Parts: sequence; structure tokens; C-alpha cells
Amino acid sequence: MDFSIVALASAVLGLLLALVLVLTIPHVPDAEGAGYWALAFLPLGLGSALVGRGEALPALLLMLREPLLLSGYALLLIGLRQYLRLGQPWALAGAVVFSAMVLSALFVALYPSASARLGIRVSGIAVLMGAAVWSLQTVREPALRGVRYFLQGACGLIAALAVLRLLLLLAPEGASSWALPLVQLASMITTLSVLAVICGLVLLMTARMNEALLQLTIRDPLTGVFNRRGLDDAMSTVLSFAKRVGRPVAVLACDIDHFKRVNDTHGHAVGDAVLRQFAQGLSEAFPQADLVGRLGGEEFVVVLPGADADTALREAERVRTLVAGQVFVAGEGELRLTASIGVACAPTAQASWSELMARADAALYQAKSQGRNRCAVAVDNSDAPSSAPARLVAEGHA
Amino acid sequence: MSLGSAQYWGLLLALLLLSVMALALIFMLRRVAPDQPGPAVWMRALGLVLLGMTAAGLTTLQTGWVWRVAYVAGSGVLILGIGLLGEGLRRFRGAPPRARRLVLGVLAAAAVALVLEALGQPLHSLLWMSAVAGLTWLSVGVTAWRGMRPGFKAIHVGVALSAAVLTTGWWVRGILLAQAGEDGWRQALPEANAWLLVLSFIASGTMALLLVLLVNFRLAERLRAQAVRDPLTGALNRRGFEDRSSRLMALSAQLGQSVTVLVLDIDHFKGVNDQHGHHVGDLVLKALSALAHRAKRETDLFARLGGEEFCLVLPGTDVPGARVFAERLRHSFETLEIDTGRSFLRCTVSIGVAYASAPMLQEHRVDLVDLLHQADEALYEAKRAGRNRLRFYASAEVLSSRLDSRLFASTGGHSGFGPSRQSWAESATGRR
Repeated sequence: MDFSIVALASAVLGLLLALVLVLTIPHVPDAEGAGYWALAFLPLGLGSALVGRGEALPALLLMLREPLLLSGYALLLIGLRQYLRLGQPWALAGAVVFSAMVLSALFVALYPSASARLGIRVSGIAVLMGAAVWSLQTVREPALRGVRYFLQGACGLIAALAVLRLLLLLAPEGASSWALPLVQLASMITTLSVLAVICGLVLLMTARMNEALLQLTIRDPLTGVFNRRGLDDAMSTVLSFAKRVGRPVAVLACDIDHFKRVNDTHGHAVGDAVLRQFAQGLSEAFPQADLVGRLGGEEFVVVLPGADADTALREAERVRTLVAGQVFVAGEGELRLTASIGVACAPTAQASWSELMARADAALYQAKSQGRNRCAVAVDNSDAPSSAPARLVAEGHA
Repeated sequence: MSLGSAQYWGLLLALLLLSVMALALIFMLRRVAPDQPGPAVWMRALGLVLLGMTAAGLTTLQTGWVWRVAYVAGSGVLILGIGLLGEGLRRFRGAPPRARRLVLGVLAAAAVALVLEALGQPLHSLLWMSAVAGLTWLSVGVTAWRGMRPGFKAIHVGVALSAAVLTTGWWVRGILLAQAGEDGWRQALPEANAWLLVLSFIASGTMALLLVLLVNFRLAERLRAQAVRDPLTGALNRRGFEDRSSRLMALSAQLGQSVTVLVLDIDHFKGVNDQHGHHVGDLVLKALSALAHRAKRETDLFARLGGEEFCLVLPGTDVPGARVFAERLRHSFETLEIDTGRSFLRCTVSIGVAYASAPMLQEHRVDLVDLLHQADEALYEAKRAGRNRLRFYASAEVLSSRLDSRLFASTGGHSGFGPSRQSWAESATGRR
């Protein structure tokens, strides 16, 4: 098989893909580092073209070829690490490129050896791409995991093929009949993997942009907890999962008592600060898979997957005492507030999200009408008629 | 440049590997944007293309009827895959599916090819399938071109161009084979195929990346639209409102248009919430939003400022116009019966209005914050006067227009009428 035409086609395709990447960068917010990728294609393309010409080159170009190609890979790595907000490995990149320059000069001028220079090239590639795979390990967002695997696969393939070519260099003399096509195949796949890396980087850029945008749409801008849309999204998963495994789901509807008064006497700025502190307190109280959201106004929701009515009530009581003990910083002064909490539980998660929420709301208003600063549990609809009153359970200031 | 058999096999292998990588890319795209309809179809399409390309590539030169049928089947699958790419683009832009038509078309094309094979014309069968494949790519290109929307033009043009290149590739292959004639086509095949593969390699690689961009940027557009809207009512949220209203005010000043700002507050909303629960409160909010969305013009802004307070910005509206608009909105909300599931609920809304004429905007004598503040004061006045009515903030301009307009003639004398800024123009119809 002859891959010379593939190399040519890949060069054209690489140029087009790089062009698309460069045109994409301005449309993606906070894509620092992407500029380095755009820059990387210059040395990568030039270096690949020089590699395609074989050994029929002037000595100077032969000396510069390996460092040029490696600086392309190094720029890819540097751009990637800056994009991921990691420290930039200028020392590593500089060391690899510089030593490649010194060594290839050595193997052109003093001890002319093509395979030694190939060895320099592939070991440089292996180091740089291995570092890229390692850096990508820091991508933790669940939504971006797929893109991470794709990029790690492509970079890892490049590194692995470089190692393979290094090993083939050490193969005995007589092995060239099977080693040569293998080397050619390896270099072809490497070229394709570089193309895949370009595509993967574009996918990473746009996917991270969308992930950030998604966080904007599902989070309440004031408090940072889920908003209604985020809660709706998350709840569909929680309920269907809980239903499948037959576990209960409980909801706490928490409402700050007399919040209107805070707003009226201290102003909206203080009101906002109180909401923020309240949300933070709730988030800290439920650090695990529990969901905390704000439905608007001063009403917050905590979803407790796997909690039955008793556990939920205990948790509600914990929140109530926590809030009652919390000191809210309001401008220069301090505020003490209480919260009323309505609890609703779906024993086997049979209820829909809106039903559950409506029951929690009903319980909340029961608690409010009984004098605030207390918890009330909604009676389960499936056991009792829906009009049954909520059971008042705990009282605050006894 | 001459392309031989060795290059052909090298290219075929490279193209297969590239397709596998594209498959992986689209698979990841599907995970990143799970609710977009395109990627799932494209994955199937790519699978079919891979299968068809391998089968057709391996059987083109074989003789014997089994191989010929296999060749026709392979090309048919390849063409089906190409067509499915276009189908994915159609689904992506929300057009109704047309998969059945596609399958029937491919079956018809394959039937023609089988007839040609049966007549002992493998070259003609090859040319026919080449022509059909080129045509299918052309239809993909046309689909991409027709799906063009502002903001995504460059991507669509890129996809359409890639498809056009692929059409060219298939047709060039056909022309090269036809030129070689009955005797020479078997020798000419590797080179003709190699040209096709080179073009396919470049164009399909580009297309894969462009499709990734298309999906992700569309998703971004949708997310951005969501980020500026209140999820419950569909009204703009504060973030979206601040962004758009400032631009709208500047635009109005530039176009020499006045601006009216309405602040709406549902009466006794807290009572509704306390009495019927948040669920019913949400229904009331939604009902008012639906009315406002229906009443507003395209250039008007409708936003939820928080709680039960909404805001409307009406550019290019004078005082009488705003009065008619606000009064109509107030009245239609008053008469609306909101279905709460158990009963029908009626609510009312109080509206405060502030007005800024074009010169005031142009001379920067008022900005949006002032207007919102004024409308808030007017709203407060409307609430104090007994709710379910509208009040204008009585700036000098409102008062002068009140003198001019017959609409205001019915309004009785007002204590604050005159040069005082703190007077209130009263609604003629909103009073009870």
C-alpha cells in the first residue's frame, strides 16, 4: 500500500480543519489557549511536509525539521493546558524542542543517521502527547467526559504509535520487509489522529461553552442553587430512577418567615443578601446527591432521594433549627429569621413532581397558618383522601 | 499525477479509518448534545456508508452473479447512508422525516442497476450507481443550503460545498470510467476510484467537523435564549431585560421615537399564594404573561422583574397609545377566568406607566432606571388608589399630552395637576 497520496490529502484536510478551528475561536467565549492551537498548525504542517520529502533535503532543513515538528506538538500541549487552566509546561516544551534541535544537528553534521533523527522525533512526540493525555485527565465535568475520552484516545494513539515506531527502530536489520509497511501504516494513522485531535479540540471548545451556558440556564443567578428549570430537569431523573428501584423521594418546601418584612424594612439589597445566605446554608446542609433549588421569591426546595417520611421530617427539623440558629449578616446589622417547612414524601416515587410539590406546598401553608417556624408533613395521597389536612408535627418556640 | 492500485488501497484504508474516527466524533457529539435529532441519524448514516463502501470497494471488479449482486447491494447501502446524512440534516432543522421516500428511491436505483447487471452491462451499472450517488450528495448539499439560517450561514455553506465536492467526485469517477469505454474501464477503475477517494477524504472530513459545529452552535443559541428568559412565564428575566432594554432605549433615541414603560403588579398575589398555594400562584403568573405576550408587538419587551412584578417596554408609543394598551391589558386580565383545576379564579392587576419623549431620550434627561422608578411610583399610587387600575407618572410631558388629547378629557380635576412633578395623571377608565 502506498500512503503518499493519503499524506497529501491529509495535509489539505488538515488545512481546512485548522481553518475551521481558527474561524470558530472568535465565536466561543473564554477560549484562551485556542490561539496556540491555531499557531500549532503552521509548524505541524510545515514539519509534516518536510517529513514527506524524506532525506532529500538541504542539511539545514534536515536539522530544523524535527524541532519544527515537535514545536507544533508542543504548542498543541501548551494551548491545551492553558485552555484547561493548568500551568503551562514551557520548560518541558522548551527542553524537548531544544534537545531535539541539538541532537538532530548532531545527527546531521557529525554522525549522519536518519533513523537516529526519527528516534528523536518519535520520542519527542511520545513525551508531548503523553503529557496531553495526562492533562486531559483534569476534565471532570460529566457532560464533557465523552469529549475527553475522544481526545485522550486520539492523543494516546499518537503517543502509542510513536512508541511503536521507536521500538521498530530497534528491530533487527532483516526485519525491514515487515517493519517498513508497519512504519508507513503507523505514520498514516498518526496523521489521521492529528486530524481527529483538531476535531476533538473544536468539540471540546464548543461543548464547554454549552456546558457553561447550561449552568446559566439551570442555576438561579442570585443564589447559585438550581432554579425551576434546573430542578425540573433533575427531578425527572431522580423520580424515574427512584421509581425503578422502588425507593422513596421526599421534598422539603422551605419558606423564610416574614421575608416581606425584611425587604420592606431593610431594602432589597439586604433581602438579596439574606436569600443568598439562606441558600448557602441549605447547600451546606445537604452536600450529597440531594438537590437544593429556589422556586422564586423566598421559597426554596430540597429534594431528598431515598428519604422516607420520618427521615424527611428529621431533616426538615434539622433545617428549621439550623435556620433559627443562623445569624444573617444584613448590611451592618444582624438578623435572626425562622423558616417554615412543608414536607411531602412519595413512598415509592409514584407521584409526579408537580403532585409532590403541590403536597409539600400544602403542608408548608399548614405550617404557616399554624404560626410559622415549624415543620408539617403532608399526608400521603395514596393512603388518604386528598382533602385530608396536613399533620402538624413539630413546633418551634415551645 | 497518476494514481495506481497501491494508492487506491492505501486511500481506501485511510478513508475507512477516517470514517471510524468520524463515527467516534459523532458518537461523542451525541453525548454532548443528547436532545438534538441530527447526530443519532448521522451515526447510522456513517455506519451504512462504512459498510457500503467496504462491500462495494471489494466487489467492483469481481465477476459472477453473486459478486455482482453483492456489488449492487453494497452501492445501494452506500447511497442509503449518504441519503441518511441529508435526512439527518432535515430532522435537525425540524423538517418532517422522509426516510421512506429515501429507501424507496434507493431500492428503485438498485433495481435498475440489477437489470443492467442482468443484461451483462457491469460498466453501465457502475456508471448508473455513480450518477445516483452523485445525485444523492447533491440533494444533501441542497438540503444543507436550504436549511440556512442567520448566524449559521458559514457552516451551512461549508456543508453544502463539501457535498458539492463529493458530487463532483462521483461524477468525475463516472466520466473517467465512461471515457475508458467497455475495454479499458477495468484498468481505469483504480485511478478513477482513487480520485473519488481523495475528494471524499477531504470533503467528508471537513463535513464531519462542520456538523459538530452546527449542532453545538445551535444548542448554544437555544441555551442563550433560555438563559435570558424566566422559565415559568417565558418572559425575559432580569439579565435578559437589562441587556435588551438598554439597547432598545438607545435605538429609540436614535430613531427619534418615544418610549413608554409599564410596570405591572398582580393585586393581592400573596393572598392567592397563601390561600391556594404556589401552584395556583404560578398559574396566575402564567395567565398574565400569556396575555402580555399576545398583546405586545414584536419590538416590545416583556420581562418578569421578580415575584409578581412584570415590566413592558413599548418603544414608539405615545401616551394615548400606551393608555389604550395598558387599559386593554388590565381589562382583559380582569375578565379572565383562570382555571386552577378545582375552580375558576379571577385576579386583577395594577399598572404604573412612565413615558419619555424622543427629545428627552436623546438629551439623556431620562434613562431606563429613571423610567422604571417613575413607573414604580405610579404603580404605588395605583395600588393606593384601590388597585386594579392604571396610573401615569405625571411628568410635564404626560401632562401636556393630557391637555392635548381628548382621551384625557373625561378625567376629572386633579389636585396635583399643574407644574408639580409629584402629581398623578389618573386613568379615565381604570377607576371603579
